[in-house]
Amino acid sequence: MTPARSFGLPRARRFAGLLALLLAGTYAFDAWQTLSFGRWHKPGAAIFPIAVAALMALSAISVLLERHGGANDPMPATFTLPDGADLRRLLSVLAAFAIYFVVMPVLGNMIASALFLLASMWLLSDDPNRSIVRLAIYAVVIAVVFEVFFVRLLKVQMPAGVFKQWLF
Amino acid sequence: MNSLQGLLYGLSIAATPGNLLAAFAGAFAGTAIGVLPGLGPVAGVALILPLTFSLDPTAGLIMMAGIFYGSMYGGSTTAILLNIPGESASVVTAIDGYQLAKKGRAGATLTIVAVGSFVGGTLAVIGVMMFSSLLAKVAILFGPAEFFALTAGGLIVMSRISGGTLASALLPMTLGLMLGTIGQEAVTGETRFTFGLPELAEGVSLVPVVVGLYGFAELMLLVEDRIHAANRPESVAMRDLLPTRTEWKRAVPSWLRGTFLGFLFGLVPGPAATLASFASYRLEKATSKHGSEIGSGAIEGVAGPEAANNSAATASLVPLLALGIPFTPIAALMISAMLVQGIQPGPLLITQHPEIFWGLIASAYIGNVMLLALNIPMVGVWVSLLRIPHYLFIPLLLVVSVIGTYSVRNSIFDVWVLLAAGVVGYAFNKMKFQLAPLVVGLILGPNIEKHFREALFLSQGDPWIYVESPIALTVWLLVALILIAGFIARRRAAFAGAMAQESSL
Repeated sequence: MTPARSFGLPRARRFAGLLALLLAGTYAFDAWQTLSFGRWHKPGAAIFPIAVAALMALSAISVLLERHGGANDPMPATFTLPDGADLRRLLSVLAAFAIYFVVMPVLGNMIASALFLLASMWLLSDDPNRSIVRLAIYAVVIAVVFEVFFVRLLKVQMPAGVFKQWLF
Repeated sequence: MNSLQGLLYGLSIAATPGNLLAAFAGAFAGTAIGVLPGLGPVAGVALILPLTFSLDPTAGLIMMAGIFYGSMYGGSTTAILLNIPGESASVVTAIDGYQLAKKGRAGATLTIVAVGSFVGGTLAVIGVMMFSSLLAKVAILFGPAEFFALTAGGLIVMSRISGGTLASALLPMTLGLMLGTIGQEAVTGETRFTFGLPELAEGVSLVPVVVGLYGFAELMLLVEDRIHAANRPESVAMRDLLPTRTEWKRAVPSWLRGTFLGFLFGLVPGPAATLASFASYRLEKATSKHGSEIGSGAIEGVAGPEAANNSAATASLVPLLALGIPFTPIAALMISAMLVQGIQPGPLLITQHPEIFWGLIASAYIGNVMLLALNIPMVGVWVSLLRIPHYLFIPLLLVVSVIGTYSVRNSIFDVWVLLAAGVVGYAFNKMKFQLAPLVVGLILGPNIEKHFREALFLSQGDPWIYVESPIALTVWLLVALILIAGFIARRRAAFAGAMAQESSL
């Protein structure tokens, strides 16, 4: 079985409702402070955001007041999140993804993509005998094909990076 | 130009080599996206959106429509072979489809599904052709109050019929409206909620939000899911693809019922394809001669819902083409593509850009024929796609999502938005909040505000303008009717549930 931790869904939704209420308050406060209200015949930029904040507060309160556990409750009582090795794997892929586009402007799209592909393939492969050389070949081939197809053929603008003059 | 002349004109546009290639590429890529678990139609169209900017507008929209239909076709393949629906509208197909596959009828079921999707899609195109041109004529009379009624009313209806509880749709919808207020507003040009970040002055782009919510979040769910990753489908031989005479006979009435029902659902704001497939499944259970077999592997259980979801997907083009109002995330993306190309969607599209209006409609006919040809003989190819290990295709799709997102505005900031939307989408999926209302809220929010304020400007502050005209009043009455009907249906279902529980005690 996949290692996973169970959490109470009602509690998580109430937490989300609380965050939404906080967001509604902050958003309304900012709109009130910084935007113009105008007149009834010439409404300003603050009117709609204030109405949206009120709607957000209303939806947050409706989440907070939800009744759970009845016979007709369409929602499950719990949800699962990965744990142990699976959690580490998920977070590692997320971190690799974030690093990918932090380094992209410096290394360029092709090199950054190849490095990200290699890292994430390594992290996601379940095979204990996986070969780094084989994965590196896959990563380089995919990155080059993407560069040729998207950047050269379809003229999609991507960062070229500092190695621009040595590549292509 | 009447509908027939329009269709002939559209066929002459859609049959040019460039547009045929766009339709084929879209149908092919869409089927692959639908087959691969993790990317559904919305993420597929979102990813391809930036690439269409380099094509001419008609070819770009034809390609997007091809991806949309193709992924609806492809989504059912995984549902039947692996019991994993490729997208939400195929959830129902998995119930009977997988049972039929276990009985050794996988090939025949795939054929019934492909032909049913073709029937649903093709018949619905006739409806789109007739309704859109009629509605576009009426829509020329619309002013800010009427458009406000349509957009705000549509959003209210959507929040109520998206499935789940009211709060599950209302909260994401409001979050979408909030995101839509960021940046320069349309009426006076005042900048809002940018917190000094120049990247936010243009507002939050739709593409990173959609790719994050629908693509990235789904891929994260696949990363944590090892059980399904271990599943490998069996091969399907060509000789097994032919249904028996009885199976054909049983499928035909279900296709027709599903097509009609799906078209009606497609006209209502909300996740039309998914709702239509569920409604069709219930209709088949109630009306089919073999209703008692549905659930344990009956051909009606896949034929009806598949025709319904394709018919609904096609019909959802009506508000997009006739009014320029998107009620689904895919329609929102198509509008976004038109705007980038400098085309104003709306009732005048049919007169100002007949090549787009009729070309898109005609390409749907051609696309459906292509999909039929792609799906039945090439089923082996699609099955083999399912054998690609997750460690290869997840990183590959993540890279495509970054390229697609970055290229819209050449902005790394948008890629951060993609990551943030992905995390929100993952959390919302886990906590059973709906995603579609967030996207539709984001795209409709600025329109609602613009029409709301313009109406007040025009009426010198008189709020009666919102219900004064017969069209606006009719729209609001229809909204009220749908909400009341929904309320009564839910009360009746709850009452029936309580009675059933009481009788079982």
